[in-house]
Amino acid sequence: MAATVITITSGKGGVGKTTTTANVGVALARIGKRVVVIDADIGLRNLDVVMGLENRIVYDLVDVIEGRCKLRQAMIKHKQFPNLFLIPAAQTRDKNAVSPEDMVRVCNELRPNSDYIIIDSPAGIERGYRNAVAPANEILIVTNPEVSAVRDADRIIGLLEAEGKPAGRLIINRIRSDMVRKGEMLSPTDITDILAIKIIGIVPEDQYVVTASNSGIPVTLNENSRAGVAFRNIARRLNGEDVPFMNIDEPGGFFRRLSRLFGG
Amino acid sequence: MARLFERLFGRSNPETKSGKLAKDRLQMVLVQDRIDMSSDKMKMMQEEIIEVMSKYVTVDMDNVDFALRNRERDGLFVAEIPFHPPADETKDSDNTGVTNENESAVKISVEEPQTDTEGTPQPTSDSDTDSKAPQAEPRAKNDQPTIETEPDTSTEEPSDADDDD
Repeated sequence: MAATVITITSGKGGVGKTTTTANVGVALARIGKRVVVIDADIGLRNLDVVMGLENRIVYDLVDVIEGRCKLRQAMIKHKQFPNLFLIPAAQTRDKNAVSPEDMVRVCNELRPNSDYIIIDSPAGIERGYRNAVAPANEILIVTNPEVSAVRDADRIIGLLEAEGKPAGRLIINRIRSDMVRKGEMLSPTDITDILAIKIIGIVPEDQYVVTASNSGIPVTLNENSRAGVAFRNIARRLNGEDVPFMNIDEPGGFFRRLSRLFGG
Repeated sequence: MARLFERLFGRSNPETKSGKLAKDRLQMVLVQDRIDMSSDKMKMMQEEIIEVMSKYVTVDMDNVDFALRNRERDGLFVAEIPFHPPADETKDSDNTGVTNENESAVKISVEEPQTDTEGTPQPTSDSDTDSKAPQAEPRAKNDQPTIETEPDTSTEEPSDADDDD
């Protein structure tokens, strides 16, 4: 099976791209896929720390692109899953050190031996974002149920359409069903009405995400975490499985069937 | 612009939950974000639309209203442009000219009360003495008069037309 390059982007910062990249990567590795995750946030690297691999960095993405090392040397193997690798970002450079063509080349070199290559995009709509989406076969857009995040997601969707990129699918992160039920938070239906794209995941707000990042153990591996379940479901949907969404109550207290489910 | 938009989207009130407020505000903001047209250009577009319509009908400029909304990822431009047909006999400009058209289209002979509601013979509208209208029997007070034959009069002198009480 040919490798799928998935870019995770958002526009807005802080909505959960890195957390999503780490957890979807781990979830896919957990079901036996060969996964490489790439941190494209040059200068502000974080994927390493969220995955607990920050002490294992020897070479990074810019070293590879500038020819100081072979690709394999920059790939850090995960402690628990030998089929999961991280290519960290450089911390002392910036987005201009990498070009969209560089990213395409790196991914092409990874494709023969991978099932999924997941790229953690930086926030914004400039060079870093363009680098990250250049090699993408699929694009996941992460947003929060909050006005600024949805507005920025809309911008990204528009940019992707204008650039002829593959249609993005939406992950709504940090939903609080108690607030949605009371009508005090945008609901998944509200957000998909507004953005008019398909949903691939709804991740509830979950304190375990904080403790997970504190300890460097992705929350996917925590059986008690609802966010963990959500990330594992996203991985299953990416893999073609039709997984129903967890019950997120719409305002009024009854579950309304989402109109834009993952369609495969 | 606000009036039509409110009618399309509903008006927020003090009890509106913040989730709904967020959705309404986002819909408004995104219409502008997506459109990529300066407000000058938008204004010019609206003016040109009115110009084109004015070639065919008389636009009621004071009551023109526009709204923008989104449909899926596309924009939708909604315009409410009241007009009346050119060279219309009616003097007053009600909203869409439809009422007038209905009335001017209705030409039936009716029975007219000879007296008005007070029972006092008064010079009323032209239709009472119009040669087209047959002389009617005096009606009981409770009878409702029916449709006037002259379209002008029923709008201009409502007290003569339909009140029977």
